[in-house]
Amino acid sequence: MSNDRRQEDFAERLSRISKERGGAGGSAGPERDMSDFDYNVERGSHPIRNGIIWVFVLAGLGAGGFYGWQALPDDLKAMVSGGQAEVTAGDPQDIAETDTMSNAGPIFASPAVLYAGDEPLTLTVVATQVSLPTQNTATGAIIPIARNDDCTLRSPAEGEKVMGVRIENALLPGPLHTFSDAQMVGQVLQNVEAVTQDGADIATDMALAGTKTSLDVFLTDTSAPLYLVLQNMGDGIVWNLHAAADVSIAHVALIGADFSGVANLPADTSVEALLVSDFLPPYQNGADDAPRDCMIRPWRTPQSDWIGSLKSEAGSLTDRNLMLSYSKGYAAYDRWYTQTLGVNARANTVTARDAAHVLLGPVPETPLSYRPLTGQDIQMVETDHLMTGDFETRIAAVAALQDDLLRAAVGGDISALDPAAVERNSQ
Amino acid sequence: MKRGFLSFLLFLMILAGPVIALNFGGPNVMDWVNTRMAMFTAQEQPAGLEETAAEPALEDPFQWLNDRPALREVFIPDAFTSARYVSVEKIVPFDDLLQSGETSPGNDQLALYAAARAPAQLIEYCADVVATIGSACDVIYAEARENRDGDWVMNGRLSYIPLADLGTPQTVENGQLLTAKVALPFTGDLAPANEAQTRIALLQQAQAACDVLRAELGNCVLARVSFDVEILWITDLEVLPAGTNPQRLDATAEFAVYADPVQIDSAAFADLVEATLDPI
Repeated sequence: MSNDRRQEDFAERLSRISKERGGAGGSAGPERDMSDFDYNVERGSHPIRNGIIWVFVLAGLGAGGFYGWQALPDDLKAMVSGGQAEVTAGDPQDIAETDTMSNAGPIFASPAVLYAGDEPLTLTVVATQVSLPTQNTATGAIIPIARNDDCTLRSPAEGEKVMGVRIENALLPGPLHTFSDAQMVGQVLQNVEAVTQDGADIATDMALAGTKTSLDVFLTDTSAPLYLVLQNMGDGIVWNLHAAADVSIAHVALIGADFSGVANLPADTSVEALLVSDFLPPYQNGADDAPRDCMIRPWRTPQSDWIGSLKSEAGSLTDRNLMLSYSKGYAAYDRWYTQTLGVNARANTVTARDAAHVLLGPVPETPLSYRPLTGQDIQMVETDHLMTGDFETRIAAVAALQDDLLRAAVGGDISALDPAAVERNSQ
Repeated sequence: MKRGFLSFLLFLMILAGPVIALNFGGPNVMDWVNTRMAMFTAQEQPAGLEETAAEPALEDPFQWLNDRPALREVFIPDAFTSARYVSVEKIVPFDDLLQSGETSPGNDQLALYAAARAPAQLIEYCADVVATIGSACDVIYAEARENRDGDWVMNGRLSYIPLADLGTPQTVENGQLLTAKVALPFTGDLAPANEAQTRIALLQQAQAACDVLRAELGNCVLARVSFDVEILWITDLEVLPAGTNPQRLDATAEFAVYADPVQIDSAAFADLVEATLDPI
């Protein structure tokens, strides 16, 4: 037998310690949450402190995510999100013109056809046996049209239907050059300033006056005799008419900033022409909204899909001013158009910035037979200089005229436009 | 408790880093990444190329300027640039532009004739430039316009190759291009006459100031001297001696230095230029 009580003594000490800590002998009391840091201190609950910490964390994550996402390039964002790049978002400089949409409206390059419908239309549906003009197309006679100096367009007769095309530029080459003395002086002055201010080369960078373009106008509306209003703001156009059988053209009014003409005109159709510069000062943004008796600059009203409109929405001040100029200019033009022709400027009118082929009327069930410019007489607004023949001959004639004028302006030697540098030791 | 707070601060700093880098610090992160990628790919040359002995590249003394277009325009010593020129103005009646016996064109061609003859009229002023500050001079811009008196005003920019040494901008580390424009002072109540000897004196005055600045800061370029012509009113001329030239010069000079911004900032440089030209 042993008299060792060490085990009993140890058990008593444990029991006493347990009692001192609040335990009830061997019975299990409620479990306490103890701090990790301070031994034997109960963990406190801090909902406000923790809440503030989480607010900071989430705000940091949110701000970082938002600004980080904004900093990514559009195409990368589109790739990550699986969508398409938003052209309206971001910097206006990131919104680029495309082959079919410009700052100032859509572009219908051949073989696309501009018409009143929404679905794409190509030339093969509208015309057959197509032979597009070239710079070397040999035309027939050039018949002069005297300009209307009084801004008194013939009013549409009872029963006539006013239809119009309003664009800036035609996209087919023109078969002739024509220009006024004033246009030639302006072109040579531009060339001189290109040399003396921008460092252009006298020998290779000289632009020529008088370039013309052409455009096909297919006519299929047989509901009434047509009063055509052919309008553009850019270089002069040879409007080549292709009328379907039973289409009657009563009158053609040409309104443009340059000397234009019309081909394949029926013999009994009257034609007259208004030149913008005869009645209006040179183009300036925002200067065309004032009421005028003869406000004939053919503005188009901006549309939401124009790149200029998108840039304006994205914050570009330049484009905002440009779009405002178009809007105000169109309002003024529409006022004159309505007073003069009895219908508003949108009526039966198709518009684009640039086009090569236009259809006025329904899409034909069978394609029309194309009437090429080759050999056709052209009724052309008369001015000081007219060059026909092949392209090389024409531009040589224009260059010779401009060269004579430039030599006279410089005082003989054209190299005086860019005199040789002066060296110190040459003094 | 303290350790927890420090951990939280560290976490916030890590979180804030990309936000600052992307949005507020100015660095273009994508460019930085692209540059590093380009350096990496440039190092991976095809093995075959290494076998060809590379010809020793000719050392371009102005190589350091090639990566700094704005600096190059000002400091390149042997080329005409659009950032270093003397601006001149000439006012003449249209008939003075015509040669002896030449008939005047119609009114619609006056602007063309004046514009076409402006360079020949303005290059005469290069004589003043090569007599003072330039080893060579060329007309890089010319325009003509009619004023309300019916005379023709020709404005030109004469780019020049500096005659003086420009100093040693290449020795400046982390420098900044500083410019300061001041009116060139003159004595008396009447601005200097628009005459060759006056223009030459003004150019010399400007160059002398640039020499002083170069001695102080290590480099200096006379970036621009402008001679604007003012016409005296008849009432002013009436009280002046007969034969007084009615065309007077309003002359300004713009100086450029490449300097350590810690050493001198824009305001201090402008003060220094003022003090150099008007030391009293």
